[in-house]
Amino acid sequence: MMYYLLLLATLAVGAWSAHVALLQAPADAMQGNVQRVFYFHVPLVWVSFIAFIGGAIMSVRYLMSRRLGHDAWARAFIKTGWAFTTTVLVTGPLWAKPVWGVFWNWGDERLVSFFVMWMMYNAYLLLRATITDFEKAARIGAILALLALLNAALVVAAIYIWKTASHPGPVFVKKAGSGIMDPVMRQAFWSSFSAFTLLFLSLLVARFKYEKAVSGAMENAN
Amino acid sequence: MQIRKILLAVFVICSAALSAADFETATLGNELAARTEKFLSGSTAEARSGIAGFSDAELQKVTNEFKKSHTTAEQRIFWLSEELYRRNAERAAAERIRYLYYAVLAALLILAGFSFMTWRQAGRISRAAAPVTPIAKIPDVPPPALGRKNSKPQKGRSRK
Repeated sequence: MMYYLLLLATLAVGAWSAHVALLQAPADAMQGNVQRVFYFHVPLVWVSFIAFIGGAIMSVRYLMSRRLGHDAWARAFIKTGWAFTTTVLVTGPLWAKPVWGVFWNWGDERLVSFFVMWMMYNAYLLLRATITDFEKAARIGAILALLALLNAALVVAAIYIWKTASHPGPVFVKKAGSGIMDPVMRQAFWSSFSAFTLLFLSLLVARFKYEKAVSGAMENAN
Repeated sequence: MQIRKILLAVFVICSAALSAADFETATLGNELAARTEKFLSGSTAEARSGIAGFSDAELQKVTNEFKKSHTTAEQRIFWLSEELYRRNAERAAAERIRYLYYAVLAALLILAGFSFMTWRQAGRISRAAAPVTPIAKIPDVPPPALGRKNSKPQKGRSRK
């Protein structure tokens, strides 16, 4: 029952945020309508990081307790986070092309570190799919999830360390003249932020249900 | 007579050229005139960043005043310039809308694909755990004891 309420809330907030972000919010003075990509690109990044932090916490708990339930949570977090990260990597270049003139800039440290992070989670999924010894895969996967989280921290810090031209600073800043200022734009951003967080939670719960059953089957097999 | 006509034509052309060279910002009103002067005399960087400071109505006013100070032929050159900007702006706007559409579509496809996969896998697990239609099962009931026809004890067994 709670899960269906969560799904209902996701749909309602999602529809509202799509309306505000795509129809109500004004077009950006410099970037035009393509700036609306920002309303889902940034929340997707946020959700990806939440997923990977969750995955790393559950991996640590697995390494400490060796309980497959924790590993199931870690897999659920990371697989869901992977889907959101992939969406970030697709929507980002589609925004960049009309604004920067290129799909990708290999000179931008934030982009490259984000790409490396995505590759590390690909490696995680590949490892989990190929190692037949389930407990060994869980152990190595947990270590890899922790390493990938270190890279995720580098992605966040990249704009402060390298001060990249493409990502000059955080979106919400107190400094005048930067970040989003228009109240409808802010509303669009926060509604989208809530919608993607709810969507993430819905997918995470469903995915955990599946991963838990897989872990249960593996435990019974041993 | 002929010389007079030529002189008159030369005078008209020269006066038109002189008036074209001078754009009088004074006609714009005090505040707008001051800003326009600053825009005209400032550095290129200042001028570029100052463009956004003009409202739509102010831009219209400045443009009208500027056009008035030019000849018909020059005004037609402005038409061409305006047309070029209009076409470029239209092209850029269409391109941005197109990429926004692609991005929304891609995000929807990826997330819908992942949601479908998760829903299918989770559904398969729950179906395996609990069948949708319950199947009637006959419990293992021991057969009823039959009445003994022969009370003779079997060989090799003794009652204790």
